[in-house]
Amino acid sequence: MDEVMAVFVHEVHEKLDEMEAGLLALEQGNADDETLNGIFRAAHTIKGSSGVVELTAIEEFTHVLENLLDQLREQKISPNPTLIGHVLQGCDYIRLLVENIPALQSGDLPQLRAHGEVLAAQLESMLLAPGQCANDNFSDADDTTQADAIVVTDSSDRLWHVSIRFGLDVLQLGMDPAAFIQQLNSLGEIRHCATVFDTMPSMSEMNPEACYMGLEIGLQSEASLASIQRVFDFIADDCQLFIMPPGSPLSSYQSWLANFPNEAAHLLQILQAFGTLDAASLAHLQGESSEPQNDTVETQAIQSATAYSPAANSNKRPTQESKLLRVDAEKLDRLIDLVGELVIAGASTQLLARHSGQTALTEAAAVMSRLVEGVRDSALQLRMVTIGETFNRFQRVVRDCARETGKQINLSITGGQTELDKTVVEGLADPLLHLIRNSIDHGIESPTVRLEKGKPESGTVSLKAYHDSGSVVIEISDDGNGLNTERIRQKAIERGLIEAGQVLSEHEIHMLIFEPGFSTAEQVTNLSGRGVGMDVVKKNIGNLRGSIEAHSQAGQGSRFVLRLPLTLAIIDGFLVSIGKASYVIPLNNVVECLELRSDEAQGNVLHLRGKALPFLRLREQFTANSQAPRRENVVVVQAAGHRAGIVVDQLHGEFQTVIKPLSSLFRHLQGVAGSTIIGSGEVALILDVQSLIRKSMNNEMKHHHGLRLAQLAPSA
Amino acid sequence: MSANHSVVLSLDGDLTIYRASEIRDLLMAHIGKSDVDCDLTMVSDMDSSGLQLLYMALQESSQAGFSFRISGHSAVVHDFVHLFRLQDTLLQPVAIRDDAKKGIDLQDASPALTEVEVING
Repeated sequence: MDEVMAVFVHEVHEKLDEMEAGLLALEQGNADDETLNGIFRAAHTIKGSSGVVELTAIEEFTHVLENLLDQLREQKISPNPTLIGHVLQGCDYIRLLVENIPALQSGDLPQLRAHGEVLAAQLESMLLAPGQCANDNFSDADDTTQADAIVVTDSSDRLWHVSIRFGLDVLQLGMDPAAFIQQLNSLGEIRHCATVFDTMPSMSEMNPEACYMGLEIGLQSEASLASIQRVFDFIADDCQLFIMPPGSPLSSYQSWLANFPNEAAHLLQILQAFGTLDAASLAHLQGESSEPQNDTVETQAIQSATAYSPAANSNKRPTQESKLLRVDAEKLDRLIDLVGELVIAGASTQLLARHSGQTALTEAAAVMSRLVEGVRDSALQLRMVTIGETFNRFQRVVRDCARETGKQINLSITGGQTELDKTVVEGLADPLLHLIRNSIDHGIESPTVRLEKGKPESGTVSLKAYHDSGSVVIEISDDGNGLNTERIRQKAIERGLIEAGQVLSEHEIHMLIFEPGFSTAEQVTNLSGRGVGMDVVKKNIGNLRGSIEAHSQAGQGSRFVLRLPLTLAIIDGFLVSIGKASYVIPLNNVVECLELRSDEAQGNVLHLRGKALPFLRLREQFTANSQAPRRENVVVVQAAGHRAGIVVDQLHGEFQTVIKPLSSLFRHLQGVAGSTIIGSGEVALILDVQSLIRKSMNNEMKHHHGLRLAQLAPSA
Repeated sequence: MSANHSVVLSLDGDLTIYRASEIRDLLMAHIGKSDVDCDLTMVSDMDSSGLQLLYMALQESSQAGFSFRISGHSAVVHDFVHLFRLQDTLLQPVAIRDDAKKGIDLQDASPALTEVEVING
């Protein structure tokens, strides 16, 4: 039962997210029929599932919500901000209920219940009075009494459209399409009927006893959907049936047409002849059907007699879902683990093969190594999710925050398709939320101030994601006031983070906001400034092996740049050594390798093709005792736009690296990101290139200016 | 000469699934090879498989550039075809083929047929 509950909670959250996304799109005015249908479907699913797990409180409340959404969908009422606000509150309430499932099951929660009743009353007040419309709930179509209550008041020109494609063996089963026409005739008047033979093969190829017929029927009837469906009960499994009740939304015709890509033109002609739809709708459908329909192969899955209107709407969803597989994250982790071991074992095999000197064996090992690489990539791909979903979740946050602060704020999202490891995406949610709230609260000015400054009235917060040399970059920027450099400086002096006379660049001052216990907000608001500072954000990002930087231009806005690794498990590495110790540099950071010539190096700077490149000796960095060889090598590395050289003894080339995290004992170690096991079974340290670059640059500056620099932004 | 040769097929009894194979073979022997006039006045029963065959015969004939006409039909056929609203397609007003048309090129034959339709319709 617990497992069922877990699935239920997960599903409800998913559906609520869908609903919110749809509602926000609706609010912003960029919604189409499909959005409305999506919202309705999500609510409908929640209602259904909560019924299954016997959470009547959720079921009853969602039912009210669903009624409202249904009217919205049928365009009996039109969306307005108040209505959307109420529905969003409804979503929040359902979320609240789901969080309190144990209490919900054990008994009553008087407060929660009262809250729900108020909300339900609000929602119901927005419904059209029952007399004004027929509240036809298709989900209960099997419930005859309710379905029979559907009364088409204006029957003069409202037509049911019944579309049926008979299965090949209908005639052999002793049934004749003629019988169905006659039965439909008994339910009402067949105004129009067209017989289609669009799937008929040539005479020589046909089976004379098979049925190649289809019917398109315009039926004027006051019967219920259920009773029309019942006509086709006998051949339910042997036909494709679509019933569009009078006044069905255009989208149900769309999804119906999508099932017959080759006949669309013919079907549209029929619709036109029947007069089922008006000219504008037809033209719309015409435009739709001329677009290529590629995904019709899977639609066989919905060849069921129950594909009446609402279900026909959701055609696209089940097929899409059936392509996706829900896998326990633990299983996936285990797979990744095993692949990691495989990579290590493969490296070992390759090493042994090379040492054996047998060509055939070396070749075989090389092939295997390539395959292992493929397996590794595909396995890691399994964990990759797009960041878009996480980004979209912030639409709601921005909306609510904007309301709270009385500001006008747009959220612009770019690069939602960027893929990231699931663990990273999950770990990002909190830091992002904090940064966005921060931008809204401290960054964006109130509309009046903005207008005074000559900026557009509504501010913009942008979320942007893109790939950059093996890592993912996420930017949160706003066009607000920017960071207040002077105030940060004063605060830092107050807190003893820097000394009064210390000379710091603007960028260095901006980075101070990530120091523990730093908050410049003069007014603690509901949004941010609650003591959870930017240092926590930085720590969270650090836990993901990422980094964060703040950029700001006074009066123009601020920009936070997050740099994150693509994945946490396996990377392509570059193996180097000092004495007998091996080190791995992430290959993505490696720019080039060259020999160190003493005449090119001066102090901590190397002259590389006329440019100065700061460098550091790994031997000194890790105080290795061994003697430096006569010839040393430099690996030029790059991270976050900066370059530096790392001097090592020997280069060993590419190496697939399974990252094993270091225990917390080594957390303070600078310049080391993790460890790995190389083919020989020895442990190699993985270098944290970014902190090494920073260190080499600091060294270089110290050397030149002799300044004592504040330990800015200690490395992760 | 053979191109303009017209065949008259007279079907009687049941135009149903029980004889569908037999009728298909009979139709196939002539459809697409010459104009076919089909006499259904003696048909006593009909079902969808029969209707299907008639439609197919019409389609394949016209694709091959020949005419296929139902020159006469019984009440059973009339009712069944009307149920499917295929009367305009299948039960065209019968054009009586006169001798004058013999020998005329096929391309000209179909407009002549349309003309008759218009008059009777």
